[in-house]
Parts: sequence; C-alpha cells; structure tokens
Amino acid sequence: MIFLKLFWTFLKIGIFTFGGGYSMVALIQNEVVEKQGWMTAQEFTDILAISQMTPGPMGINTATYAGYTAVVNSGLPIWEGILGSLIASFAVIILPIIAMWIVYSYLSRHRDNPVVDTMFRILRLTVVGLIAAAALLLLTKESFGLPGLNKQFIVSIILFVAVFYFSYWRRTNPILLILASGIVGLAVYSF
Amino acid sequence: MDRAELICTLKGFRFQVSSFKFQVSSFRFQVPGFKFQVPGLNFNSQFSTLNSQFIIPIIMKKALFVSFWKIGAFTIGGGYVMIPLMEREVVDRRRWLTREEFLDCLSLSQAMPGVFAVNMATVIGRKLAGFGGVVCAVLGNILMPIALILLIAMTLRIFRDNAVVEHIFMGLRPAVVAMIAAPVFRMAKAAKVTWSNCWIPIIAALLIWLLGVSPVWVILAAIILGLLWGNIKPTPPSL
Repeated sequence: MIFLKLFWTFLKIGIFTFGGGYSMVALIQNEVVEKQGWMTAQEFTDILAISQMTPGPMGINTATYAGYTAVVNSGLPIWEGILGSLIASFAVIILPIIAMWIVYSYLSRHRDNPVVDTMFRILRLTVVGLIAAAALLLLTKESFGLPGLNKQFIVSIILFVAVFYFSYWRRTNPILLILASGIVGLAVYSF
Repeated sequence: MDRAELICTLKGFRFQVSSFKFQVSSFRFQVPGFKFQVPGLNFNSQFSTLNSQFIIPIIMKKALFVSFWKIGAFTIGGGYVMIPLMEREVVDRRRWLTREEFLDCLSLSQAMPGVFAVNMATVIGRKLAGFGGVVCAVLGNILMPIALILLIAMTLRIFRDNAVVEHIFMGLRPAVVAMIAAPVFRMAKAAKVTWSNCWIPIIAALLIWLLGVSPVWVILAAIILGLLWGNIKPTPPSL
C-alpha cells in the first residue's frame, strides 16, 4: 500500500528534520530515492529545482512534489497522485506540530538549561554535515553529465561554480539564479 | 505609554491595542449596538460576552489565516526567506508580538524538528488563538504552495519528454547542487564550526554520503551525544 508507506516515510522525514529545508534534502533523498526507489536521482534534482523557485516553505514544496511523483511513477492515476501529495505534506508537518505543541511551554522555560543548550549546539553542527551530504549525494552524472571533455560536463561545472559564487558571496536571490541557469541551459543545449 | 505596549487580556486571548482597534472597528458596521472606545479601552458593548467568546476569536483566526497565507504565498526560496516578511507582518503591521517575543518564537522554531515556516505558524498561532489558531495559521501558510506545486507537477509530467524542458533542466541541475552547497558554508558559520569541532559535521556527512547511513540515525546519535556531553561537561567542544 503505497499511501501508508508514503505516510510513514514522510512522518519520519518530518520529525527528523532539524534546521530547515536544506537538511531535509538528505533525508528525503535517502528515503525516497535510495530506500524506496520511488524516483530516480535525476527526478529528485528536478523536484528540488522546482521547489526552490516556487513560493512557500521548501520542505512543504518538496514533500508535496515528491508525494505526487512517487504515486504517479508507480502507475496510479493523477487524482491518486494528488491524494499522495496531500498525504505526504500532511505527514511531514503533523508530528512537528504536535511536538511544538507539547514542548512549547516546557522548552521556553528550559531554553537556558545547559544540557538542552549543549544538545542543540551539537545538533546544529550535525545539521551542517547533513546538508553537506545532500550536496555530495547530488554530485552525480545525472545532474552533471559524464565526466570528461564533453559539452554537458563543462557547461555544468561552469554553471556550478558561477551559481555557487553568486549564491554564497553575492547572496543573489535564488529565483534569479534558477531562472538564469534555466535560460543558460536552454540556450546552450538547444543550439 | 507606547502604543505597542498596551496589551489587554480578554478571556485568555492577548491583543495589542493597535491590532485590536483595526479588527474590531472594521466589524462595527456589522454588529449594531456595538460600542467600542479605543482610548480608554472601555468595552461597553451589549454583545461583549458574545464578542469576547465567539466573534473576536473568529476574527483573530481569520486574520491569522490571511497573514500566514500572505507569508506562504509570496516568499520564494524556503523558510528562512520568510523571516523578514513574518516580522513585518506579525510584529510591525499586526502588532501581535513584540520583537523579543518574535525572536523567542524564532529560536524555538529553529530548534524544533520540522518545516521551519510551519513551526513558526504553529507557535504564533498557539500564542494568539490556541488550537484553532494553529490550524488556521498552518493551513494558511501551506495552502497556496501546495496548490501551486501540484499544478506544476501535473503540467511538467506532460511536457517531461519535451526537448526544451529537458534542456532547461540540464542547466538547472548543477545550479541546484551549487545552491545546496552554499548554505553548508553559511550554516557552518552560524553553527560556529571550528577546527576542534569540525569532526562532527565531517563525520556526519561522510556517514551519509559514503556509507549510506540514514540521516535519521545520524540525528539520533547527535541528540544522544549532545545529551551525554551536556551531562558530563555542559560546554560543547570549544565553544
């Protein structure tokens, strides 16, 4: 039963995501691409691109899109895909909301507790590693082309370096970067 | 007294005067006999019980829904981009929270698991209007993004094998990887990674990348390590 599996998978993804959408990427990739095999790594990268350029929280966007793609990829009709996307986005938020509700009063009183504080600092350090792993996992031949002196690989490397530069040092708006690299891709590969 | 500091408590709901004035005065025309005087905060309404128990919470929830709908529908690029917009909406425009309260909500939402923007909606919704507030704020926040994503997902599936779409995505894929790599270094600064504690993120990344360990286990291990560390020596490595 794919819907139950979807619900359980995204329940796990929701409760183990610390530190925002980017750390969710490694989790979703691990569960959806590697364990369940609901989609290819390439499809997953496309989903990330779309989730970043549409409005809304990235975690919700990715969950919605991944839920839809997972169901439709297994050969079910579109309306069941919509159901799948709703299940995935509901599952991703429900446990954190309950946790927030319970912990709200407790944690606001114990935020200065040294043990709690230490735990969150270690967690923050780990999340940095999680996001790094997400980026490393996406360094595949599906997204960059086969390594070597061919057109796609060279263009991809140039795009990677340029986008990294603008994103990290210039803090350019992400939607601008996505649009620009889409236009570059269209121009380079079409002609 | 500063206007933003005036807070009146009404059946467990907290309102700040300015937002109160805004909401109730717009309602005045619909309820005949409702008298509301802002300066002295005198509630001389014959419907005051009705208002405080029934109507005002509804107005509050509606306002929460509208505010978070705006925040969700007009921010591109993930939860953290929403912070300035949320601050403007919740602190400056509606005056539901003071800046300090907002910062507390922010650090709590960041600390807890889950989608950051939804966590913010949960904690602010609960603060202002309880369970119904949470439902309204969260639904408002995610409704528009979900609808849009579904629309795009359905459309793109039809055009997936189209050469133009494929070429666009060939350009997008390396860009996306770069856009995930950049926050690593930004977050490393925020999490205060130094030479003596950089082994934590490096080991976490290698475990997931090379050994294929599920991030779930890595997070659990980090929580246990943090709790142990906090009990033995309540200062984390070189901080």
